[in-house]
Amino acid sequence: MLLTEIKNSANIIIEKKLSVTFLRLLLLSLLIIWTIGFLQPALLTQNNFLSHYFLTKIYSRVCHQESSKSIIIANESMLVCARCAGIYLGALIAGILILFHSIPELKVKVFTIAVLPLLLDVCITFLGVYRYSQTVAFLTGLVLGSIVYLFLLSELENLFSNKIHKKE
Amino acid sequence: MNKKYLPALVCGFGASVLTTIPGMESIACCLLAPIASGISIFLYKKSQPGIYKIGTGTGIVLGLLTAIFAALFASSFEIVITYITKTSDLATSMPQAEQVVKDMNLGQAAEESIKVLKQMMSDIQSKGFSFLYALLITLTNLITYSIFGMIGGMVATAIINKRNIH
Repeated sequence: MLLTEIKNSANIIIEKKLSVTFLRLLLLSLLIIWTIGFLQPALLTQNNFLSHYFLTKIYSRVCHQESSKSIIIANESMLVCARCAGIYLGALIAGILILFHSIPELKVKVFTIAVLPLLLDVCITFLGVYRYSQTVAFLTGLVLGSIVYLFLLSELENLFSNKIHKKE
Repeated sequence: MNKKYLPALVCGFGASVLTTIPGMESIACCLLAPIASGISIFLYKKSQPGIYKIGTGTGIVLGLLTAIFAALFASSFEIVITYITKTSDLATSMPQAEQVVKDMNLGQAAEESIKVLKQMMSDIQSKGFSFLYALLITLTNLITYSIFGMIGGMVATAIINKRNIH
């Protein structure tokens, strides 16, 4: 009786762990695909007109794609601006780092600290206090992207663990 | 009206209005739909003081609804602007689009595709409206806004719930 209960609990724990790892891997894979997409001009050395055209169209729905605000790698402008690139790469780095670790306790304060530099940069640049800097935009995006990814992941894991809990 | 729809409608409309402001896109970038979804969830929580915690499912649905409203309104605004100005972004990318279709080596299908594209352009330039163009704009907006709206909804739900705990 006791042995069966232990076995059941162990199964539940394994199932939870597996679903969490699967979820993280799935999210990370999607992020990698998305990142490769906007890095396409730098990754494809040959002039791949077709994929460039379609990807530019796709990313134009989520970014203004101003060439002056985009990072240039190997003389090629990326398909999103420096801030967006920072957000996505931040999420990707967080996704890789957290893959086999548990998510640290997230407080609203952490989110506020992550979002404030980006907001300040946007407002100050808009007001013309200082000129737009790709490095600042990229770094503020990087911080926000990584924190947002952790919040997103924690919420998704909550959703999945609740579903498993209900199944029990 | 269902209490879920009202904040989504208000925020979706607000976000779509912002998309029409020149230069706004360069500031808000990909964050417009997630921010609108976040505000929508915040308003939903405010309108229901009895709710202590918002479920992730509710957050996703609210984010999605906000994004759908935003996409529909934004597409409508774009269609109206195209109707008034009788021009669109498509005109500038038309030579590129033709090149892409030719590169696909589709034979007869390529010719038909170019014909459809040219018809779309001439419709926009003469009448200011093309059904196919309107459909394409609406569909792409719906897909991208929905993804970012749901992400925004989930993140906002996590933040709002954590704010209640601490």
